[in-house]
Amino acid sequence: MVFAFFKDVAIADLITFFVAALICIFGAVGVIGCRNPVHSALSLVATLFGVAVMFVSQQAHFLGAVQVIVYAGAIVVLFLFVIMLLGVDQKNEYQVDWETNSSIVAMAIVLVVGGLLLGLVGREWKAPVGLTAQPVCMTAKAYEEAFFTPRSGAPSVCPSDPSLVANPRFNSVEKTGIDNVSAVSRDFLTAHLFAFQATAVLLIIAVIGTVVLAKRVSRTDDDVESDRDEYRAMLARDTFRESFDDPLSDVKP
Amino acid sequence: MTIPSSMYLTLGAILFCIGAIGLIVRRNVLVMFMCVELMLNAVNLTFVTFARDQMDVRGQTLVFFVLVVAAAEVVVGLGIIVGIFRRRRTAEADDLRALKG
Repeated sequence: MVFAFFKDVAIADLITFFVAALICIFGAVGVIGCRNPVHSALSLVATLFGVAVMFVSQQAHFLGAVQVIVYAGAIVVLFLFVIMLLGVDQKNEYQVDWETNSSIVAMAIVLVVGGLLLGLVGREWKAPVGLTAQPVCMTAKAYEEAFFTPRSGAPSVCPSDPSLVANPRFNSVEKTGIDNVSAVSRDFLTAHLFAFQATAVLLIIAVIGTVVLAKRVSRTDDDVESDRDEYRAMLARDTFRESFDDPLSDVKP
Repeated sequence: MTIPSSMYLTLGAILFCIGAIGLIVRRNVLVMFMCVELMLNAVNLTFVTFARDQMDVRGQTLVFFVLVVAAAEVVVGLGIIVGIFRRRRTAEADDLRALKG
């Protein structure tokens, strides 16, 4: 039965998918399973790489490259820098607080949502009526029609050659002549130009905000001392944890 | 034939649930952040799968914007974590309860 399900699939595609899926899942389990945050970050790299393989195998070449460069190359390195900069202690246990009901409720929510997601998987998905699809990759002719005809001409944005739609490998570069990078860039630099510029503004705001956040404020010893006293007073008022390990005990006033 | 879309969607659902469980179970703020990244990636995979399924490149455009926003989010979030650590000397979510969350 399993073989019947896969009998039309090329064997190389299958091997690629299952190897990448295993890397993804083991990496994800490693992220939440490793006690050392550095190991978690390295497991995250495995997952991100597996997802990049999935992108490429679905003809999203641009996103596959961006995934490796931005996520594995920048974000995880940032994580590792922060982990090592802070020298995160080993005492962080992963624990579910079974005493409180909130953890059980949260787990139940996750399981229900996961079940719903898996239940939706086998369905037949149809594009909503009224949306014009823009192909992942296009024939040169459809490309011209979509982007270079005057608006009054009611441009068709679907491949004009119906055999390309019927063919499951319609979006391979060999058959269409327009690669995925061109299609994606054409889409977000024309139809979504405003959003593209807004992300530029967002990135600048994020950088400036982080610089302001991370700027070391000059604090006198009195400031540190009063902060510590304030925090200890707050902890003293709270009674929810008996054996609380005072994180400020090693701070010299 | 290529791999059916349902298999990619299944993988996305599994990754999303692992990320959500990690967000609940772990107490380290940094690892919780990584779990959020995991969930974002699961959703990105779903977007790309539907983009292929519906032959619509706009799904991939949306993933591009998600990537940019995720990068900005990580930068700001890690800045906040460093700031908190400087002040409180802890990276445990349970210790950060000044807002009584």
